[in-house]
Parts: sequence; structure tokens; C-alpha cells
Amino acid sequence: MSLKENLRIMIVDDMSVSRALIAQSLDEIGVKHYATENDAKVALGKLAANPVHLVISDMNMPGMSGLQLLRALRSAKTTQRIGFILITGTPSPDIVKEGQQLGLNNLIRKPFTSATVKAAIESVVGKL
Amino acid sequence: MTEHPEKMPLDQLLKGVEAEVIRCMDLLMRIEEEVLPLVSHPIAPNLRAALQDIDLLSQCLDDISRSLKGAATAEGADFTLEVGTILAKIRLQDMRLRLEGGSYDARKLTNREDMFDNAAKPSAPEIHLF
Repeated sequence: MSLKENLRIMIVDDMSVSRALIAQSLDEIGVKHYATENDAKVALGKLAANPVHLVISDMNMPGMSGLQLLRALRSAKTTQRIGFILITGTPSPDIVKEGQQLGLNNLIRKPFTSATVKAAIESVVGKL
Repeated sequence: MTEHPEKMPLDQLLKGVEAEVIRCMDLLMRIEEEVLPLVSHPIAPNLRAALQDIDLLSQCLDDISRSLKGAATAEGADFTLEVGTILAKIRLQDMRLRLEGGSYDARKLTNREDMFDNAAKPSAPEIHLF
């Protein structure tokens, strides 16, 4: 079984269209197992209970930002090794710097394509 | 023709503009819900990029509304602004009336031209439809 058939991903984004676009990219890439969540705090609870291989998260979300989610994941033993890709339309130097300090694995800049999503995932988990 | 208030506390104007920005965010959320089915099919790259701009626009509006809220509560209550000419430039009559402190629900109107006030555009030519 190939890597993309085994890979488990959680998409975290408060905007339904954005979640659907990321999901569509995963479908095109051939990733079979992914879940979506619109609330970062709820996602954190689900990830603690059932960790995935990789989280693809939006940056700006109400309640908990993508970087806050990353920080929370890295601080818990069960989730600290989950791969994390941040998606943002405005990747400021501060975001990149804080992301690197928190162990961010990659960053996707909006607008993204399926090719950029695939390349970002492959840089974290290897060739799909 | 509506009488525009000549002076208004700055915080009142800023709170009004903030409310208008929040209205725009609500409108954007309704648009997002309506366009969601588009993503159930493969879509062209330019449409994919445009749909991602909904999120960016939403965040921009959210930040603008937060800025306005902060500015309105800073020291705006002590500052009065000459708003007559500012409000007169607003073409959307419903928005202008809300900013003046009145209420006006444009969605109850049946004639789209009623949403605009030619008084705000004195150069607009008179149009004969029939």
C-alpha cells in the first residue's frame, strides 16, 4: 500500500470553501484518509484522542489561530510529533519565525494549487 | 431629500462604519455558503484562486472592523467631526441613513434604483425609461 493511501491528515479551517478546496486537492493527489474540522480547539481535542500523521491548518481562525494550534500540539506528548503545514495568504516574517520556533514543518501560501499542496506534503512525509 | 447631520461624534461615525463592515462580512459569509457547491466538482485554477480570496477578504474585513472598534473607543467620544460632506458622498442611501443614525432596510425595496440617491450624485443625468 502506498504512502498516500496510508497517510492520515486533518484539515483545520474555519472557512467552508477553504476546507473544501484543500480536501479537493487531497482528492486530486490521491490521499484517501482525511478529516476536516472548522474549529481549532475542537480539532485539538480530536487530535489528542486520535493523532494523525499530518495537520494542514489555516492561520487566521477565531478562538485559536493555526500557530496556537501548533503550539498546543507540540506541547503534548501524544501530539508533538504530528506534522504541521500552515496555510496563509499573508505569510509575514513574524509568522514564519514563530512557526519555525514551534517546529512548523511547512507553509503553503494562498492562493494554492493541488501541485503546491502535494509538494508541501511531500516535503514533510516523503514522495507520495 | 434627507437632511444630513452636519456634526457627529467621531466614535458614533466609527461605530457606524464598523457595523457596515460587519454587514459586509455577513454578506460575504452568505456568498461563501452559496458558492460552496462549486467545490464539489473540479474547478478551473483561476476560480480556485478567486475562491481562496473569500477567506482573505473575510480576514481583511474582520481586521478593519477590529481597528474601527478600537479607534471608536479610544478618544472618539470627545471629538466631533464635520460629517455633512462625508455622508453626502455615500451613494447607498440605506447605508448613509444608518450612518446618520436612522434605520433603513434596503432589502424590503422592490426597485433597485431606490437604493441609490441621486442627490448624492448631482451630476447624474435624468433618465427616461419610457
